[in-house]
Amino acid sequence: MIVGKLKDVAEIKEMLPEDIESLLIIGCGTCVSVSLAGGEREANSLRDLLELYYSSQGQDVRVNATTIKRQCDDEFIETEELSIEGHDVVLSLACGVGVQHLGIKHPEKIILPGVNTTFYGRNADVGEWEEMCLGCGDCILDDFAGVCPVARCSKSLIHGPCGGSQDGKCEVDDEIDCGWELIYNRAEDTGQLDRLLEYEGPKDWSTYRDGGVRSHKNPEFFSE
Amino acid sequence: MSGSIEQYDVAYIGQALPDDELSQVTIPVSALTECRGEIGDFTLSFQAEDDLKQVRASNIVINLKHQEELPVDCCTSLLEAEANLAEEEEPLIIVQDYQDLSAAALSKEGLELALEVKESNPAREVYYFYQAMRFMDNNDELYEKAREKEVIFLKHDLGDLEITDKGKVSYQREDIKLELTGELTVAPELKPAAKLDKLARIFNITRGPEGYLQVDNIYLQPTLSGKRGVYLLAGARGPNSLTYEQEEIQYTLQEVKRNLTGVEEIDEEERTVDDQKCVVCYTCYRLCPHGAIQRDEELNSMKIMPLACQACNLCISRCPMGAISRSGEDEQQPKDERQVIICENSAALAREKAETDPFADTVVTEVPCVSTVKKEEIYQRLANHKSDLLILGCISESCKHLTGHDRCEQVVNTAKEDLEKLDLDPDRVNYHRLSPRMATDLSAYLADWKGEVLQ
Ligand code: SF4
Ligand code: SF4
Ligand code: SF4
Ligand code: SF4
Repeated sequence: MIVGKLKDVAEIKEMLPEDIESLLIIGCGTCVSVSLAGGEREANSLRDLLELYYSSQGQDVRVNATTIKRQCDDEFIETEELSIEGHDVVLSLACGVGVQHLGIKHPEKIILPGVNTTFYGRNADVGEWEEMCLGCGDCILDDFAGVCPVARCSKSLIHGPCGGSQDGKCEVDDEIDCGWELIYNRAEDTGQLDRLLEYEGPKDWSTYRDGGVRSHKNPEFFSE
Repeated sequence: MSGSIEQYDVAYIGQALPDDELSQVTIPVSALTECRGEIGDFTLSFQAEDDLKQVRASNIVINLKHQEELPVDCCTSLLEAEANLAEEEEPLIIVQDYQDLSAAALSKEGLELALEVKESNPAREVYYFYQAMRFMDNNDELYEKAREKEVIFLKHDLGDLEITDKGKVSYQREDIKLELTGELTVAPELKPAAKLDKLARIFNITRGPEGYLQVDNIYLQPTLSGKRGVYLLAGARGPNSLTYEQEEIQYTLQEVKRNLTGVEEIDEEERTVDDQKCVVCYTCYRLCPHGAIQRDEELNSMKIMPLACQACNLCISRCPMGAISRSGEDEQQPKDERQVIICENSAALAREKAETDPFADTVVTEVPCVSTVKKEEIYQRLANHKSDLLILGCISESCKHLTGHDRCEQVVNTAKEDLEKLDLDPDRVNYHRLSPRMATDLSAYLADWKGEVLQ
């Protein structure tokens, strides 16, 4: 799932125009709600916090909040069209996708991001997320015992560990597990150690950023 | 469908308790796969032979043995020692508290063993090493008797007593110096029962720091779990459960029987999840201190089990979608200059005990648990009133909702940080913990706080 983190409120305040008269905060009711970053609760409390801030500054700013199911699909944002048009600025609490989708649909509106889109991750514990995938476009998990060297090795090394890991921890930061230790252990547990030697690479990075901006179509929806 | 499933008064996970009045079923931990429902009507799924079976039960008792760890090799566990060694010539050596202090129940075991041996073979030497003799039931009588029968009691402190891997015991204290070999029986260290992590998951109960299924909290004494209708005994409950074993069994059976006469919802309010808003993020499920939330498979949304719910409102204040509501949520806010939110289980009780009402000139909002307070509410109150906001929660061990007050503190702390980041005064919101007994603390704290606010 896409994981996000609500931006620091000081940063949000800085990005809002000084002469702002009305602000609409839009939460997104899917990924960022589940990752507790930009759902209705965050949208409403941010509204109340900013209202408190503006009133303490003696500034008259109308702050409203609403939350829609998914900001990355037309049909959901259409219901908010009037409301969006009725405010100076929109602060979107969706991931970067949602922010930009709103921008495409509302070409003349200032749409600001209220959330940092952090990674594709899993829920590790209540309130805790861990990165699992980088979206490289050519999944090689089958060659690495199901542990991703691209996302879970800090250096995205495909041909083995860098040599800097210690006691299972990565040399980049000892809070991070060494991805290659995880790969090795899981390969051992699942009897696939030999398989690790078979990967000959290099990996085709053209499906990742190296091939430029990506998009794709599902052929079932298109005819020649 | 559930009508065709057999229904029992109580389901035991682990060892059943002897009782003629209750209909009961026993399920081994390893077989159990799922528990749904709530007090009065739990449905348990488990593996039986090659089939997945289901039973219904009104109550659940988890009764599992502690795991034992012996502090040295080459000895028998005091809990398994048998005294039918009448013919033995070599001395019997009983050691309790070798590294850590043993539970009182182990003193009893040790004394009984010593006496049994002495009674069947008075000539046999019995050494009893201990750091502290702990008394329960008739331990003091046993101790006196054992002395009369010439059991040799030797008190040790850490380091006075050495037991080698080969089972040789050396003891040195003041002018006594002993080297002994013999039948060696040592009090084991008691550890949480096996597979409690699995049970914690299945029943959605939070484990305490030592790994038992009961957390240290006055509301859970003696054998309650955080979840209504689920009781904990022996190695599922805690390290001293052997000491009060009989009382705990009696209490549990009584509770089970009382529950069979009917259970009521904890308050009149209705808490409902809007299935159109719920994104099934599991936050409420994971946070509910009482394991009262389940996924409704038909609606694919969460649902609150009304009898299991203990009305703390934590789920409501933390749901990222605002999907949970309660019927009694009152929108009105006090117009008073000082704003205080208090927990009905601590500050409200302390208030009653105080000589003069510490809140005499303050409008107070009483909540079932301060975890009721939403982040939005904090900001709204600060915006709508010039005065500061004080939230009075409970100290952890006496929080009726176990984690509720910690959760509130987390929210207050993040709110304070955000206020500070916007150059607003973070001290406008305060959080303080009390126990119901702290009436004087409450008055003193309030006097201070008011003093500061008025400045
Ligand atoms: S906009 Fe982003 S956060 Fe919202 S549903 Fe789409 S992908 Fe998820
Ligand atoms: S190999 Fe690529 S697609 Fe597969 S998990 Fe790693 S980053 Fe994601
Ligand atoms: S916290 Fe809210 S959105 Fe998440 S599962 Fe519970 S009710 Fe649904
Ligand atoms: S109100 Fe409290 S006890 Fe009831 S379901 Fe919500 S979190 Fe659980």
